[in-house]
Amino acid sequence: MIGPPGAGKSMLAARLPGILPPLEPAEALELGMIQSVAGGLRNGGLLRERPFRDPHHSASLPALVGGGLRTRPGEISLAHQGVLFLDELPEFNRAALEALRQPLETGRVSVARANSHVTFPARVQLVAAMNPCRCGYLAEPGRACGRAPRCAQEYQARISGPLLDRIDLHIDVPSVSPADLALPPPAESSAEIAGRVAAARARQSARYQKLSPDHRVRTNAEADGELLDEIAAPDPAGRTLLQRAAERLRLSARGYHRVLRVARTLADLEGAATVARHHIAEALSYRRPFHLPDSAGG
Amino acid sequence: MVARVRTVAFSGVEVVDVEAQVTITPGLPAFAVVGLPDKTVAESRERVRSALAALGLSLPSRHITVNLAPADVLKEGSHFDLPIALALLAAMDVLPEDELAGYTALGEVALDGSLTSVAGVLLAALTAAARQSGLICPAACGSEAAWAGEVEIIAAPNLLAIVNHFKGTQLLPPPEPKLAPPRAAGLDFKDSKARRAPSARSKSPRRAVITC
Repeated sequence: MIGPPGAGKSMLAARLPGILPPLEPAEALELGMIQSVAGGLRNGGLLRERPFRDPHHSASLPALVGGGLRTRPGEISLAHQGVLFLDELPEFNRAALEALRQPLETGRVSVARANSHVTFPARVQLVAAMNPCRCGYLAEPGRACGRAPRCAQEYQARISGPLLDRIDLHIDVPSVSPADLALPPPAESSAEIAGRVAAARARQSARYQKLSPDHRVRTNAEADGELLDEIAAPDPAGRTLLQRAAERLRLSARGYHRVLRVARTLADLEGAATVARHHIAEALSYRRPFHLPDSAGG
Repeated sequence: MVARVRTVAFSGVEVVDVEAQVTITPGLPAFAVVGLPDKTVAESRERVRSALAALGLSLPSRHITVNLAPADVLKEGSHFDLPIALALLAAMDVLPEDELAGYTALGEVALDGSLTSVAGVLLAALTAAARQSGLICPAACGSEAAWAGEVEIIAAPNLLAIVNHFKGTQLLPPPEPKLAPPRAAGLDFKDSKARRAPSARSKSPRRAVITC
């Protein structure tokens, strides 16, 4: 999420846990094991809700990915099966952010130290928020500072391309006009959204129960290779669009597959059996082009 | 005679089998802990000594050696207190050693003999289930251990309760699995004043224009 200060990025993220589906028993046990080792199970009760971790941007590398003197799980493992929210993404330690790259891809983090080699599960949904530039008002006429747009390029360049490539949904959160605040509240509450998410989840687990009898794959995010090609095969119009877009946007191989996954999820949310052209188009619209545009409005 | 109590060490979310062995041999009175203990484990000597005193037992004035086997794995954490104390009690013939053999133990011992909660009880319980042994843990961790399923769990508030349990004078009830209280449902997307994009069908508020 990119937007000026006060646009509601952190507010949105704080509401995310409310729409997440509850943990499956097996997932709860997996998470419980990590929390148990970290000493985080309060009063011995197991969590049924997905974790939501929002470490401060001063977090060190071992605090994020795990390690330290006694090789504890890091924030990314404590957020296993849940959400890791990094507010003010560019302010994070560069090395700590880059260390997230491999776990985001594989869903586990291997911490190798001189006296211990440890693997923690770390399948998280990464949510990050940032301002488009240092002063924060890049895209707003009249409020941007004199150094725009160059300062935006410098500020956004603090986040590496490979990390951005792993983020599927890029959203611009524009700032709020006083008139907007007077609008009536939206009709949809968290509970209704959670219902739709749960329905999509149910569709996914029904599908993977058939296709992956060993329960290795439970969600679209975990589908890979042939399985992904099979479940997310778009219709002919969608395929043409995807191919054209991949060339135009110069999508990486990973980017290509991530678009397929997002499109499959969109189709699940809609209840569609096959991935259609508009799912692909929507998924593509969430991807950020490899080269950052010089304004935040891209 | 060597008294043995099984326990665990943690390496990430993996479990390493560890055995606490205690011998009491003739020699200068001493209490030594070996087997690559870190500072927390080495300090458990003082806690165990004091906890036994709280039970009304004094350590025999002979040479006591505690070994945490395998000796080449670094032992860290305060959860070795309980297995050391139990093995010591077995070596002193306070507890029946053959009955202890069917259990895996972990927990921290306080100076007054009460047991305080430690990290990793769920993992230890799952391991105990795989080994088909029981589990002895602090009462505060009992409900966490109960999630492991078919394991006999002794969740004791203090050392005395364990001694009485094995004597049969006061049996400890098995703990119930417990869920953490649900998160306070305070924050709702309703107060986000999202203007929906016309074709929004996905988790829409995340793509909508936020006005709050």
